[in-house]
Amino acid sequence: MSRRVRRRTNLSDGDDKCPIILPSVSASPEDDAPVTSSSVHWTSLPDDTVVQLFSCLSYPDRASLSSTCRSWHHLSASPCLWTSLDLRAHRCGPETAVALANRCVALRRLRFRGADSAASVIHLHARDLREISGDGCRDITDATLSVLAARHEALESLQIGPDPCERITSDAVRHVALCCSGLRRLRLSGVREIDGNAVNALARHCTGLEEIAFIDCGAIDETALGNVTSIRFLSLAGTRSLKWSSAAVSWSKLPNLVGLDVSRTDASPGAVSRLLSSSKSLKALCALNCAALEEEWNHNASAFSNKKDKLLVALFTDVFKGIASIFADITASNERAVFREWRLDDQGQGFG
Amino acid sequence: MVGVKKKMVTLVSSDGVEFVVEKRVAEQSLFIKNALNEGGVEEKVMIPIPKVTSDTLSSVLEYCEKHASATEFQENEIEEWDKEYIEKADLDLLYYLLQASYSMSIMGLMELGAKKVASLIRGKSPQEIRELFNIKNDFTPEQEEEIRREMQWNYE
Repeated sequence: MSRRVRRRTNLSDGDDKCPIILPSVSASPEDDAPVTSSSVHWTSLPDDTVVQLFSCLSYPDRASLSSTCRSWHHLSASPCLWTSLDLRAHRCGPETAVALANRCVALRRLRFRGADSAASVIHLHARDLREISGDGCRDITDATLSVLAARHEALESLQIGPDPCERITSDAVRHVALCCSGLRRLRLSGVREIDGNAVNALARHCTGLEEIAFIDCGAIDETALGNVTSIRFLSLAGTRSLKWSSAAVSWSKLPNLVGLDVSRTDASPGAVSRLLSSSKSLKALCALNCAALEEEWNHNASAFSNKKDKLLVALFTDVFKGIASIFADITASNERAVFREWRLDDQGQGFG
Repeated sequence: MVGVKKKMVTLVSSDGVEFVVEKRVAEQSLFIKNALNEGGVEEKVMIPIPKVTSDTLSSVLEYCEKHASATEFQENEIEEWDKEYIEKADLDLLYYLLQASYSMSIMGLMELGAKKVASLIRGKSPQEIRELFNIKNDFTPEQEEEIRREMQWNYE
């Protein structure tokens, strides 16, 4: 240990003749610097430190800490502590939203659970919201979704699922397109029908829309999806009654499409082959649990081999190896850990 | 300059105690790093650390010393060391470490201290927290009632 300590008063000038090695942290207190608990005023901590302290706590603990005194109550409302809010563990009625409103001026990301909560979100007055993610919203209506969109025009990401939103119609989707032109990601589950008008509205108004997921939905206008040229990731996992031949034609022309998920669908071998061979941008096609493809592969193991540099993820391909091949830094020895790595990566982005 | 010779700097605590430490240890503090860059002084640098007493500074430097050599250790070794280091700090020292890490700009220590204090707060009622930190309740009864309503959602 190279630390040397001496009392300034013991020596006349700057040389180190009598170094005292400090034994440890618990060195006995200096006579002229008494350290007693009476000198500690926790409320005199720097504001930034208190804010950091709040950031380490859950909402109920934050509430307790902010209820101790005025100065900490004031700091607990610092906008930087309220950029993202996860209300999934709480009942979010209108009163809750009103009580939270003065903290949510700078709110960017919101998660909630339940259609009732969705209806109350507007009372947060969080006009600058960029991300909304709601689950358990089985009963969410067109009216609620439309108001959510209208009050949050800066939205970039809107996800409602995985519970099916059977009451949502094309009208609400069109409304979202009209209100939120900055939308980059739209994920909806269990919508019965999304017609060409709605999809074309997305194509026309949301020119930065990169990700669409219509999961477990009913009828989707697959040809209109070919007009959303900005799209990079498209998922129709579990969606029924798609017309695969026209889907393959229009989606393989999408100039930016990188990833496509058609898992749990009746995707036809012909459509998948066509997408793999004619899309110029496609990098990965995910087709897990597609009975028709599996049957085709059983008869003809080379059915999907003409895929050039594209990755097909299916039950009959080596999923771990395939996905690991996307990551440059994952080697054959740890490819089974790929999903774990992925998860860790995701957590780094804060909001999973 | 021969590589073997270590550059040293002298830090002076608020109560006048001098600590001679390697430059790379002292530079764990952004405050000191900036001061050294601005000064451009090579030898015999004396840097006063106002508001940080020798007791606290000694503990802070223990942290800095470990973290200046962080590359020599596995990540979990450092984590383990951090845990032990902050575990042995009593409440008063924690307070001083938070103050010092803020004024000296040592982000890692600030975070470590805040996390430790947070762990002491977790699950406690406002009154229990007041007792722990010796905080005076300066709310009026009306304000207190208002805050109780404002915070109600947390418990639903």
